[in-house]
Amino acid sequence: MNYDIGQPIKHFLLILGAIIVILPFYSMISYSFQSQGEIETGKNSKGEKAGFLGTQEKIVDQFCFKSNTPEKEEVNSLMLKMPGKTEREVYNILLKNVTENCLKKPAFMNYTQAFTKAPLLRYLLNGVIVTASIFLLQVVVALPAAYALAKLRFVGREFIFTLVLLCLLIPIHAVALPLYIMLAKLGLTNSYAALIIPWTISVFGIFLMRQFFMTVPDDYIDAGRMDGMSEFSIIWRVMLPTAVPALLAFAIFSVVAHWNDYFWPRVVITGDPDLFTPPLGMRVFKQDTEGDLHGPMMAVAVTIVTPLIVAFLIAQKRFIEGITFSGMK
Amino acid sequence: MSNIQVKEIYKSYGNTSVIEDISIEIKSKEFITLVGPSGCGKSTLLRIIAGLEQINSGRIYIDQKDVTFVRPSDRNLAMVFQSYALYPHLTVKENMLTPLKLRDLSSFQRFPLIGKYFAKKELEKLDILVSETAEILRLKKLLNRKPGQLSGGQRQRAALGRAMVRKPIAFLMDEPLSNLDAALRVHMRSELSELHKKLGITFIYVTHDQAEALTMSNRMAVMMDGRILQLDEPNKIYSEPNCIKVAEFIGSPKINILPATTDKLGYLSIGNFKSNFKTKIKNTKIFVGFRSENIILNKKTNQFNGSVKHIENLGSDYFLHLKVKSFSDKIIIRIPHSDFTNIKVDSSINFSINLEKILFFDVDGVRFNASYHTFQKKIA
Ligand SMILES: Nc1ncnc2c1ncn2[C@@H]1O[C@H](COP(=O)(O)OP(=O)(O)O)[C@@H](O)[C@H]1O
Ligand SMILES: [Mg+2]
Repeated sequence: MNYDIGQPIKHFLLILGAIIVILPFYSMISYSFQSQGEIETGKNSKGEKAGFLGTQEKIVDQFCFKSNTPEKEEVNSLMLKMPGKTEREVYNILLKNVTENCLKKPAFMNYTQAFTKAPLLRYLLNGVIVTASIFLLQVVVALPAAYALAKLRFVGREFIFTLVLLCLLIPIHAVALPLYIMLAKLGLTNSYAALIIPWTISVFGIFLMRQFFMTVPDDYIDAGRMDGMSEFSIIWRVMLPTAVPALLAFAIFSVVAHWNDYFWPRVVITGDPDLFTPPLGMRVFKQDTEGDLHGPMMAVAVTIVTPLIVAFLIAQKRFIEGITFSGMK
Repeated sequence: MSNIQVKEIYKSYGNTSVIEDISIEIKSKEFITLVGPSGCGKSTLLRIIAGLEQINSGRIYIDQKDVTFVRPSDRNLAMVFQSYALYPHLTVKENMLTPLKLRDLSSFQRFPLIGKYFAKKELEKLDILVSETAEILRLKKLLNRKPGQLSGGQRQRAALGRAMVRKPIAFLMDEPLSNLDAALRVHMRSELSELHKKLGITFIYVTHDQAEALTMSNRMAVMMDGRILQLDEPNKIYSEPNCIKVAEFIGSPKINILPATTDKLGYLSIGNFKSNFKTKIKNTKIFVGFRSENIILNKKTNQFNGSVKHIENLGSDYFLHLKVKSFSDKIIIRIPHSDFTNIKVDSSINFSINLEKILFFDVDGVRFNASYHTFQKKIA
């Protein structure tokens, strides 16, 4: 038999690559089930190995504990019922009760904290509003621009296209400060507008759609013109339907980028936590003085990426269908 | 009725001139074909008439009205594209409705989702128009299919349907048959001719296939290098071409063009053959042209002898490609099936040219008339 040494090597490298890519996700999910101690040492208090799901040994919920710490009046009122005990002893009894009540399995604790300490549902809603608005506005801007660059003849078209290509090279971080100042001067920081407006012109979207429109035969456009469509009707009624596969591809890039974006919301949302996007939800558990709460933080992270992964798995099927069906003859 | 006039049109892309001084008057209800080799500017001329292409100078009139700067849709012309250009995401019916809706409904009534509830009556009328057209084109069963689910011929008819529904004053067609297989193409020729008679609308038809032009049109314009070389009825173009270029482009197989001379009395010699055919011109180098069918296989008065290099069997006829000494180009002759006996490659064939059907061209390729001169027997 002809044994090809290349195949196992290829597969080995691919598997290695897959492991490198998947490992952070594995840790994220695993940590979201574990207590802080398990995360830090890899073992529980009895020295058992944590494993993927953690040992689920009950631990004290710090938030629960803090908010229920016995107060002076409680101690005083209990002292009346328990004569002969010192204030210290009564306090300790109360404390023991609280501690017992606040004992929780880490997995349960992390996720409840994620949804209660951080208003994660609100953040998720913000995320949906922001990413959907960004994508829609990007399409509204990019389609006509791409159409003009691909199909209309006008002076300076090549120059403008070169500018688009140049803009592709500029990282957002380079213009973040001027953008922030402009928004601040307009009084728009701490608003949805601040989260959305800077992203409405996507040069990548313009470039991608322009490349796609180049492949659409001119006859469709001429047919539209003969039928009496305006240039804008041609864009929405002829070009848009043929561009669905390309738009889906762009949607994946756009939605993933802005749903996961931590940098820009962090810059423009300084006050009102009601405007936080999901990634900012992780900040709640970043406690500068007492160290970070990694368990809940990872629970937030899992909650954020799950909708994306589900959406992608659904879209992926549509995406491939879209490409094979579009076959424009 | 509605005629279309194109006057002194020039068109260039950058520095390359594509249309040079074309004027043409298209009569109402005629089937006119623009024919020429690919790249000669036929499509460009058609698109200029449609209004899809700007021109450098010149004027276009429809019904004596200057439409040079009128939008394509307002010229009330319809176009059938080579690629059909049916909107791929719409059904055949929706494709056919599109131009009607854009013409007859207000922009409010065309508003997505809700508009249609305010245009019930209009939409019913449009549906009737669509089904009338579908009836003529035998599209009824296909109305709810998408273009991707149709065969080439069906797409062709759907594209015709979309053009027809709004009853334009003229159909512009750019090589509409070139994507069909050979058999269907021949079939569609007769369908289109019939449709033209049935509808009584002007057809402006672009093709590079001279056979389509000859079989279908009332008049045809032969174009080359951005100019119209000749505009006439098909049989006139075939029998009386203006110049060698037209003569060579029209007719299959290609016309035979041979160098010839006239002597000082005007008698014509072709190669080594001195004829008793007298022309009015004397002592000149000319070209003569004769079509493959204008020969006589005559055992006695043989003018030429050639050896067969290639035989094309067309069933009813045979085309023989002959190498005749003293001519560099091969000569193609047509012989009916019945005369084809025992001819093989390298067989030797004697034939004569039917001098009455011969065409004369001067050295510049322009045809002149010499055939009215008397046909005399030269005294031996
Ligand atoms: N958009 C364009 N830009 C530059 N040249 C063009 C363009 N469209 C057509 N041409 C040129 O014009 C000439 C005529 O084209 P066309 O009218 O399509 O020819 P035909 O339809 O007779 O084959 C060709 O040489 C072609 O290369
Ligand atoms: Mg063409």
